[in-house]
Amino acid sequence: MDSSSSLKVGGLVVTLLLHAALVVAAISKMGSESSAAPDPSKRFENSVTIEASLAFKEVKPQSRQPVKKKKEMYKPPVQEAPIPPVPVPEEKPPEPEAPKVDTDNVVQQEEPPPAPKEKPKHKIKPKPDEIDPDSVLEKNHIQDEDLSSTGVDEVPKEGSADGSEWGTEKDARGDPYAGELRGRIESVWAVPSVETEGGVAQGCVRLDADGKIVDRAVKKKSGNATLDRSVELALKKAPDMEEPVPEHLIDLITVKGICFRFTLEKGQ
Amino acid sequence: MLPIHSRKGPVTTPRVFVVAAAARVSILVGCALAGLAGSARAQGADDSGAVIDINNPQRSKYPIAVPPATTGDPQSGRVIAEVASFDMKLSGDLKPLDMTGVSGDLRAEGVGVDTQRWKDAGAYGVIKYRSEVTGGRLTIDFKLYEVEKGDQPVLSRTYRGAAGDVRKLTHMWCNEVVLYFTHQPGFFGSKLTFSTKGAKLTKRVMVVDFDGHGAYSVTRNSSINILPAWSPSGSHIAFTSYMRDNPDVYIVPVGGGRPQRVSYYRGMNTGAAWSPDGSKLVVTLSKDGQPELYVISASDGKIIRRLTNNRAIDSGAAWSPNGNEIAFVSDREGGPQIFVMNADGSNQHRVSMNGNYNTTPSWNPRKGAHQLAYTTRAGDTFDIVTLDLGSGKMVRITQNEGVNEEPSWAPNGRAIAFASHRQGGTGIWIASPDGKGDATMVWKGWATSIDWGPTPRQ
Repeated sequence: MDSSSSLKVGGLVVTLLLHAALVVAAISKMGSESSAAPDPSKRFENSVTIEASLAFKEVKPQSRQPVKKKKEMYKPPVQEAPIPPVPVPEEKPPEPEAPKVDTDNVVQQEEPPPAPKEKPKHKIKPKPDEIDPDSVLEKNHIQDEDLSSTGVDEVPKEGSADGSEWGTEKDARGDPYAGELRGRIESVWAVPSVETEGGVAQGCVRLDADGKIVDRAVKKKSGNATLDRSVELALKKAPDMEEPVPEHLIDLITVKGICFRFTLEKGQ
Repeated sequence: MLPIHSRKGPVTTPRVFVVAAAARVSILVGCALAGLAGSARAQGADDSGAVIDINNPQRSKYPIAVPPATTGDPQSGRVIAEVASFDMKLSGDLKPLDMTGVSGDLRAEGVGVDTQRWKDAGAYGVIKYRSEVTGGRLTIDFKLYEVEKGDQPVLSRTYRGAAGDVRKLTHMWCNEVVLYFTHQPGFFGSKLTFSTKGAKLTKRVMVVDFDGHGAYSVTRNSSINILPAWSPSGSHIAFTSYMRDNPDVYIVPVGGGRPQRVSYYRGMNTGAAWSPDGSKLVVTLSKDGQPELYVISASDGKIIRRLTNNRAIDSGAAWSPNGNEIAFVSDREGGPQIFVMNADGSNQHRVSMNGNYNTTPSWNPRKGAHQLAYTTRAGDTFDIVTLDLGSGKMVRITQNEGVNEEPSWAPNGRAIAFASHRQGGTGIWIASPDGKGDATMVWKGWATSIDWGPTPRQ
């Protein structure tokens, strides 16, 4: 081994020692800091999640936008993956209600374009005392009773289709049992074609624990004799459920009862 | 937003849950079964519950009860029940209620109704009547009830006529019922004309009530009489006859009489179709060689204009209800197809795009409709279809029911009559133009070239 070789080896050793020292120093420093501050990655993750959901939740009620806006909100993730739902990163007090936000959004999007002015009164205030602990549908918590419709695609998949011939998969997403009950009643609701004026009637049923319909009545008539008659007959013909009422729906369906709003569009 | 109340007072903060979203479903807490009669639990329960939207009903026919007569003249009463039930069956939008589900003694009702009884039986409406025959004169009191509106009639009429007019008067009443529900007059009381086989190889032109009653022949010659067509007023029938050996076009009063020969050009004179005002006819003439369509005067047969001119066969014309267009059959593109042109012969264009054999177009006379029914060959058989000329939408009226040909619309467009040779019998059948429900045979026997006449004025 010549002198130049020995010099190279020496230099390498020195370099290694220096790096080792630096590494040790760095590790010791990190150890002292970690006890004082949380994992930054986790913090980021949390904040993003919370803010995003809050933003969604906030925007709709404030903007009072009808359905179409929701679709727009849903596009960003698809079309422009890297760009998060930018517009709404408002910082609202991070609350634990986040998981319900998506559902709220969905509902709002689905709302019919008209009558957005009524909503401001019922902004999303998922206060714990308003949540019916008995309700099966708690995960689908919505803000407003007028929420009528469609954004099915955005509904969290908490209730999957049960394969029932009565309910559709989408129906079942909310609650399979209630969806099937609705499907059974809808399947026997027939309005004579001579009726074209339309209207809205409300009929209610109450089931026993076994799923048998034990009470039925037209609660609110539309004033349209043919439509009201069709609702009366639909309730009369509605087949019993084949499965007993789930535990979480017992109070709702066997005690309070469940009502259906039958809407016939004019000229439909 | 529906008001939400409870016996404890208004529910200030509704709780909302989504159950399903497929058809705009939402659940609203706050209202429930508080109004349910006879529900102790419900009445005693907290007034909260759920509301789910249902927005997609099926469409059905209006169930209307026509109970047997329980008062008045029993003989005419039986006829009234039979005629009214049949009319409701053919109406297109109504259907007679199956009376087997009706319980109790109806005699106590008279011409009134126990609404709960009829509700329990599934009726929406009820027709009641009382007929009296005195001195050869018939009087019928009719009443229509909507059970949802209570026990007072929503429509009442009294008809008077000869004792033999019971069918006619009942048809008139049924037209009023259809008018009440659909805002369009019914077709009851109208007549059909068609050609049927006579002795040997002859063929006769017949007239029959739309329900198959009162059939008679308007031709009395021993020849071939085919292709009858009602005049718009219903007073005359144009038809093609070989009574003078050559196929010529004649017009005869609907009640019978001496036919007037109006078109007897050299060669073929066939297939008369009336203009809506009754002053002109479209006929197929072969006086110049090929069969072509011409407009002639209905009074003297003079040619007003020639509509087609080509090497193909053009025939089977039908004048549109508004008089602006004429549908016809032409094989100019190969097999026979349905074409439409302006009444002056311009803008001839093919409209049937299905299959390679389509014939016998008939216009829907319903106001605002722009629709044809025609015969189409489907495999080894023939079926009836309708075609909306605006949207291009086709509806199959018959399928897998034997051979079905030569449709003709009811005067209100709510039914289609056609000739059918099927398992249920050979004859004239009537079906709904929506393609739903079963067809009803109204006349049994060989029939062709069916044309549905206008509804007589009430």
